[in-house]
Amino acid sequence: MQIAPKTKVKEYRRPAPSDWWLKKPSYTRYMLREFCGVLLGGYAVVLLLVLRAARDAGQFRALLDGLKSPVSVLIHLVFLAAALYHAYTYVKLTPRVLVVKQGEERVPGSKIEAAHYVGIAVASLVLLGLFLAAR
Amino acid sequence: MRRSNEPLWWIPFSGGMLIDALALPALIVVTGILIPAGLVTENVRGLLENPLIRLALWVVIAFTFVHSAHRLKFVLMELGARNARAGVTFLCYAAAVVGSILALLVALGVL
Repeated sequence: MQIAPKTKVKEYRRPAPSDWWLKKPSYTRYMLREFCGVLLGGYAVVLLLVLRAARDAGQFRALLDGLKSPVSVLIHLVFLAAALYHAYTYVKLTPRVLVVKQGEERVPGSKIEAAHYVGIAVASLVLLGLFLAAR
Repeated sequence: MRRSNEPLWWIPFSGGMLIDALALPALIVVTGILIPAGLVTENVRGLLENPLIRLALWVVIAFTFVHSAHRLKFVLMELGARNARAGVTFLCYAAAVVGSILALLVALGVL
């Protein structure tokens, strides 16, 4: 028996123009999804600033004043849109990852999606309640 | 062919996707709407000084960094950095790890 010689396999990558994702709606949605995920990293920086300022009353007051500026509110609306789109794409993905069986029957994807939406709603209400109660 | 280390990154990435879907919409409403509207005031500082809350927020921040870095890697590669896959991957994940460590120090009150 002959042993195949070791050869270096170089992956062939078909060259693609950088605007390929504008060519088809599904590609654009994919890029939008990825881009929204990137934006969320920006919001994590805001959370980090909140966490840091909270240790000092003066700093915290200054940070709250900053959060009240129109620019900040506008950026937050963009963050909110990105977070909601992320949540939507995540929920749409769940029936493909999570296969739940009830006896012999497979639980339909729409129910799995609905359960995740309920989970997000409950988590959101708990968080909002926590912050509203602390005002 | 070299084995990919992609699956290893998928565990924190998928955790980040879940945590972000659950927590970020409400947190953004708090800092972006409730605080500007005066419905959440500086009294909330007491809550944010609670060590458990700080740790929980750190978890959200760290997972979001990893999630975001993973997405950024693909955006950069799709926009033309395909030939620099290794470099882009390293930079994105390194930024997420460093950011998470910094965030932990902030959460613990060291920084």
